[in-house]
Amino acid sequence: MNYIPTIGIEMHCEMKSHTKVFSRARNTYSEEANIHVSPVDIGLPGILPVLNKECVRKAIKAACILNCTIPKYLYFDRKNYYYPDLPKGYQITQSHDPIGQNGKILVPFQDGDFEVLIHDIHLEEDSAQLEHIGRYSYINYNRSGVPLLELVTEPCFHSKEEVIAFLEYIRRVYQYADISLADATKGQIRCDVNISLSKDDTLGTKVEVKNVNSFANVGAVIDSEIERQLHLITCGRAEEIEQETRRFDEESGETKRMRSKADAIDYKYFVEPNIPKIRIDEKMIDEIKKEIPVLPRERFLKYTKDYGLTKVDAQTILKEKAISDYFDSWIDAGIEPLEACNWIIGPILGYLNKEGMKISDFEFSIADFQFVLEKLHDGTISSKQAKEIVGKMLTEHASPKDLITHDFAQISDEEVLNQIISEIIERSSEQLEAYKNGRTNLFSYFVGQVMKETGGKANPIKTRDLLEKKLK
Amino acid sequence: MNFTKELVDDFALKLLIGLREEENQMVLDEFEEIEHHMDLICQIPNISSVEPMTHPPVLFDETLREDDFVEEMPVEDVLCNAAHKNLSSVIVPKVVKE
Repeated sequence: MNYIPTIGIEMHCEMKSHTKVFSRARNTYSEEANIHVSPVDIGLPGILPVLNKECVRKAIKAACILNCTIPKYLYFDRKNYYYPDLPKGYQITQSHDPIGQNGKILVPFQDGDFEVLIHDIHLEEDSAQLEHIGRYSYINYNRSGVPLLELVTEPCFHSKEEVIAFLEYIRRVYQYADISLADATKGQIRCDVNISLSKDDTLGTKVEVKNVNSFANVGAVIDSEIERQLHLITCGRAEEIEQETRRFDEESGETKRMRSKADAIDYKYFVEPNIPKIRIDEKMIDEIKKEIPVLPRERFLKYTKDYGLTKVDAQTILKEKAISDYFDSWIDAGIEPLEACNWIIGPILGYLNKEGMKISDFEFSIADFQFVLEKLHDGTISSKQAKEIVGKMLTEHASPKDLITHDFAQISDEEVLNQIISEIIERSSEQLEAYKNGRTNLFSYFVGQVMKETGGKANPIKTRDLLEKKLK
Repeated sequence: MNFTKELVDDFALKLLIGLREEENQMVLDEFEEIEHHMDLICQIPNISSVEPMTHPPVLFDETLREDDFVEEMPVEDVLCNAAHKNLSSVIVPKVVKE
């Protein structure tokens, strides 16, 4: 009988803010250790945590996006444990009444959506960073007190692909809503993965794999853990699957046992008395809701259904909110969506990638592109010329008006064009005969010859008109 | 629960802090005081379902702090209590197994 995997995810993501969640030290990444630290972050005697408004607003924003119930009061809990990365001996987190509870979100997946149930989302502080070298562990408190959002799903996934689609989507949502930079390369996202196997709707024995630091590794953990548990079941050793905590060993690609449920740490949670309870009023929530931008899923539907973009093109534009916003500004300027898409994902993104620039650094006005497109539509320039003009605009910072009137000045004089056409027909007797005998596709051959002769400067509309008359 | 010298030593060992004789006695004296107060509380009737009070002054409209940077500690101050350090990191014996 086939076994079905059931997976739940805990996704920890560092939030974007100027300062830490309970102190006024900078919340920023640095190569140098222990330079962004306040007395609060290293738990010096007499310190008091003071809550950052921006972090609270962003946590509420995330809770709204995830359609969670938001409690009337915000308060925190202490999670007590001893470890060198936790100077106070406890982490300030939310256990009893998280900022968002019982939510759900639709996640784009393959040809549709699937619903992910959210158990809760809570605001907490990060621990210090440990680096283990030789016989020592090096402690860096720059990360101590960095605001973290922990999102806990219900066990509602049944494949690695669903989990990865969810994580990728939430990362993009956090970036769109300015909640987090969500940069996995800087260790800003870490996941715990809970996996069980069962033959029916009942849940099997849950194994938790902690602190997985990339989405690729989340996929590897799921593969490895399903394989391990299936192996035990098929060997008749199912009883060896026990509720336990494991870690992922990147070198072997396997999970390794850390501790069993019997050895589980008792964190002795209790309410953090040093931070007053904060009333979360409806007015505040309404204000925050207004700050939520149109999210990637809704944009994807608009781009593919209303604008007719392919899914691949829509996804390319949606990779970054800034690119999607830029695309939308072209549409607002009256440019056809397909045309806007082709120009943005072609020459413009190509140029930005080549120069190592971001769309926010892009300094060309939409009016310049509109001017080129108008000239393309009225036949003043060919599409090939339009591409060349845009290429010169980008690389030489040239004005499209100057380019069109000088470098790309068209030959529209009928007398000149007729002369060129006559010469081409005269030396193409074979093609002319074939054309007159019904091979009408050779018309393009004659257009091509005129363009070749004029270096692409012949007015394409006039060229076609004159050729049609001459070839009759 | 009665706290004894052995119990305190056992907890101290588990917490990796190790106590001297006089420190053990100080902890025992403090626990005696705490136990005395707990015994008094236990004499109050009908309190089994009462949640502990965590925020005596219930001022629910506290103003949240603005997200403004103020000041950080010089790295020398951060490291000044560290028994061992290297460049700008605090060093402890390795806390993970190979």
